[in-house]
Amino acid sequence: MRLPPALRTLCLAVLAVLAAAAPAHAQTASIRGFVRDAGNGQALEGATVIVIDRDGRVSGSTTDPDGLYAVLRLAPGRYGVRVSYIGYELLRDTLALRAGEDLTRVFELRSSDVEGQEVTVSAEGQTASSLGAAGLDVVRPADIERLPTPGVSADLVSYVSTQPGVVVQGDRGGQLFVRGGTPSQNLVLVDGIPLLQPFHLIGFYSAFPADILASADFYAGGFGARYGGRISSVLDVKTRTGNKRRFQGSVSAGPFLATAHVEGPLSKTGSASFLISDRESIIEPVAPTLFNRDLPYRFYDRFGKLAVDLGTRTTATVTAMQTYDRGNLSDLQSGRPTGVNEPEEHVVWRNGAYGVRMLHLPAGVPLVAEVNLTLTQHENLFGTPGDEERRSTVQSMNGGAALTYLIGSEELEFGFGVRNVRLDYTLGGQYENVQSDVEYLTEGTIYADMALPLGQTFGLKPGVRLSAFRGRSTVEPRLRAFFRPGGADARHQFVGAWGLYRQDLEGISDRRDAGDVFTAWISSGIGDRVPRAMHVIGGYGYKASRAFSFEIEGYYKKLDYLLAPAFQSVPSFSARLQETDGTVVGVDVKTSVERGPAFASLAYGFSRTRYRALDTRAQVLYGGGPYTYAPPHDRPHQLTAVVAVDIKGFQLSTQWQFGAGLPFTRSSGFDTFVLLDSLNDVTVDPGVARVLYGQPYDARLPTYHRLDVSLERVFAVRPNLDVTLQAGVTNAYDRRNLFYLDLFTLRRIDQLPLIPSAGLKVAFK
Amino acid sequence: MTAADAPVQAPPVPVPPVSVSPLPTPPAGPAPRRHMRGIAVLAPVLLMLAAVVSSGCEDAVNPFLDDPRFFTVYGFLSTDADTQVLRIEAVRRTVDLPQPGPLDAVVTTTDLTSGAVTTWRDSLVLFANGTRGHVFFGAFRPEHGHRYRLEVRRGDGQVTSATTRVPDRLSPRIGTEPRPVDVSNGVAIQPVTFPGVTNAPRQVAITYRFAPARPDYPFRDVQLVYEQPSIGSRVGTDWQVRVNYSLDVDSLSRLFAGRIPPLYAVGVRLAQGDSLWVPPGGLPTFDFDILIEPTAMTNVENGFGFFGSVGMQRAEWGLSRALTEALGIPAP
Repeated sequence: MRLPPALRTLCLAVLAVLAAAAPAHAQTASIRGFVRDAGNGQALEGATVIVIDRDGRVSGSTTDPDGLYAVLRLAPGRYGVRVSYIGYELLRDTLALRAGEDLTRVFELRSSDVEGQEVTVSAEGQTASSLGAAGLDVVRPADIERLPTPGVSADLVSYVSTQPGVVVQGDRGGQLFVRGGTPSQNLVLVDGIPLLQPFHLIGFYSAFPADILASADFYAGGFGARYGGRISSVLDVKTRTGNKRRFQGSVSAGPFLATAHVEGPLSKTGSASFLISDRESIIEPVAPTLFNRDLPYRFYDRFGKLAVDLGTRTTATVTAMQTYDRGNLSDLQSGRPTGVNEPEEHVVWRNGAYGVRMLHLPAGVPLVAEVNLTLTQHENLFGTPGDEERRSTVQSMNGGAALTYLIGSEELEFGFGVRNVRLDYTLGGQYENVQSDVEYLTEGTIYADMALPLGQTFGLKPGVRLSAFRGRSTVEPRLRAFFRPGGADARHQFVGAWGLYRQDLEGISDRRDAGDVFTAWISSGIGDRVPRAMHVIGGYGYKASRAFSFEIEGYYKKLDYLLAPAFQSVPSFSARLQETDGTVVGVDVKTSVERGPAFASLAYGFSRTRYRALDTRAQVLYGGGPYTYAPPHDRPHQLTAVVAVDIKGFQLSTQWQFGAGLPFTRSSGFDTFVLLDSLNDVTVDPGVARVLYGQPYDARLPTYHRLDVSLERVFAVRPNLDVTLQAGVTNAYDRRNLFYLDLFTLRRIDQLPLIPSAGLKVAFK
Repeated sequence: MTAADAPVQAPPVPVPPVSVSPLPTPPAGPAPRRHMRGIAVLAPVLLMLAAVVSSGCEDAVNPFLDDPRFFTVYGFLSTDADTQVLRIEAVRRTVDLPQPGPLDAVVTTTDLTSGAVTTWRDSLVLFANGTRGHVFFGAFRPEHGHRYRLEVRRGDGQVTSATTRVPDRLSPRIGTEPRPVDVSNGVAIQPVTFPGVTNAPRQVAITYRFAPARPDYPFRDVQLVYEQPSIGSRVGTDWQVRVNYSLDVDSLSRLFAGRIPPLYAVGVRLAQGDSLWVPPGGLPTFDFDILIEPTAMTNVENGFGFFGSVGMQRAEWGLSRALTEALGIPAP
């Protein structure tokens, strides 16, 4: 196969860098390996490994999400080693390195038994460097568990949906709009496996319960070249491995969910473990009794993971995840009394995600090799139960490898991948009168991401991603940077990012109706024009200690070649699509204060999303040029306040969210349209019923706000048995928040009313 | 597994707290003043929040525009008819059609040139698809060049109105008759020019007048309606219709099963729409998806729809015997 010129250039550049760095490595030594929790074998991300020579000179490394560290270019000799992590005892060791030696060590840290006392103090977490890169928010289970949720099953989406740049249309639908993008423009990965619609119909839940979560990188924009195929955001979820030392697990029940999870070692040496989690919705059968209303939803998420250490240089994981959602969004809260059965349409989606990931540290080469093989299956149905007229399925097999080459303090990640996708859709004429089609697509990708720290004050991360897809190749340059006046211990940090992004698969939905979340996946592009975006991000962060942080980040996105439903005044079944472009401008502000048992955070987001309809018809109707409008997910103001307090063993969590009203199109009413393109006879032509729409999206729905409160206490019944009791209330002051307004029937669909909840969790360890 | 590869366990004895950071640690201890500064930074945000929230208590939504629009009108005046028709309905706030009954509307047209006022008569029509609609009939024939104002007045005095100007009567120019020799090449075309018509006509029909089947019968007129793109083209400030005898003879032959009767005359009828009755946005043709939008091609005030007019322009002529016979049609 002949590579495109840009691809060849990149390969040659990477090879040149690798070749230039190899001789230097032969004269020095290095130490690499993993840092783990001695109690359960979990990788510790963010641990510090310090190597000190006889003269007191210090070299160091911080572990990545796999717990991987690497200290390179060390002169031969004896070294003292210090390994530290917040909440863990300091580990000290000595070692001797010979010239050219590539030593591998696994360090296991013991958790500090003294509650509330930090045995070690790390600079990490106290300085601006812990605030993260441009557009990035690193989410950890502790961040999620501070938030109130109905029941005791904390979930990643409850955190993500409160971020200032994230708009959700309501507490149902599982649709996240990030900084002006649409849900299908978000890339969601679980252990490197793409998932197409991982958010459940009930907006409190996703496929990612906190129980299985190690961390998640949420890029609201400006992501590096490692990620591609989407133009809005990335949610890269890394799951925990099971406990390698002992068995543990939990069961829980609340009004929405029943859950169970179990994990434990698979070998006596602690080299292998498993983790299984299952969450099943129970809201459908219990709602009529508890809430005197039908909540016709069923969903589940099932997760399993095997982790194996193949020596000290290689780890392998096998991940499997299945999700299911089925429900009717349009009828909820419509006042339909319990027990009334009407023929309805419903939406169903299923995900299957399976993957094998292997991480290897080749001996003698300063490389980290990562290999991924994944299979993604997704199915989305809409229509009458059992006879759904709309269906979209996606099968995607991905194979890829990433090589991270460590060159002193610089780092070069070079990766490639191949993806085979089968798209099969039956749309029943819903979009552009397309009935059905099958597409087979193959994509080849190669990327390079480089980290170039220029001292401790300034860092650059250039990258480029090249793809060959449907006979066309694309080049997507990326650049990320930080500036910390004062070095790594600086309290102030400036960050920036710029990049070009392209979308290879497109999820088309009929956004004329918020209750219709059916998404059909098709190959992107109108001719050669593939949806693309340019992101520009600039931010400032201040962090003086763990007690206080402040971040502000501005962003600009330029969007091109998007497909959006055209404006139509006739209640047509088939949505015509029109080409649009747009811009998004916004500012996210976040601050948090933590003092003793109390935590408070405030996040405010301003954004202005504008689309331009390039369709000739729109231009004719609304003026000479392209018609500019705020799309239905444009929420200019959004604010979230969280207060969590530990009082005598009780954790009280409160969260208040506010969002400005979303755009909608008003009408003058209804009439009958009669076509007059010739000498039509109005006594014969019955005409067509029509909604007398005004200017598209020229009005705003009422503001959204809601207060959620929960109170939780963990009782240590036995040393190895905890019982958690939780009580809470969702929408505490019973705000009547609008989910959507059906402009044809004028039926108002509201979001969930005040819902009290209680939960019980039993955990053994 | 070698000793060097074995996991290194932390020592079991507690290690005194030691800072191992290679980097200076910020001054320890509480910093309430700094926190106060942080809160001070937040104060403007909180004030803005309070302002926003105070306006956020409203949870009702009004889906309707507060614009005074009362009726939808569709139809046109025609100089070719003695009775005019208009479809009129009240703009309603529900998608369901109202129960059949009289429309609360008085419909009048005023000839703004002569001052004559006509009151229209309501009727409820049952369409083929089972729906009903109000069709109003106005008993008059509009005059070329006159302006007409339509008023639809509701019982409470609210008025929807529209105005149209009927196109002037024109004197078409009949072009040179094609030579019989051209007929064999299939290019027997005769132009007819309508001066001052710059917009595409709403309809072009060619009428062929044939001898009656019996002497006491009337002439037999056959009308062939020309569709786009055969309705002609704009030539400067005129509109030129090109009567294509060659193609028309084929149609006529099929119509008469190959036995075309003697031809007496040929005529063109061009339905010239008023100046507003044109595809919106300068598009070449009408597009259903555009016309259905409420803001497209409407001249109705305080309402929706379109109230147009059409002036029928006519020209008639006879063909030479040579040409008629060359076309394969018997001469009278």
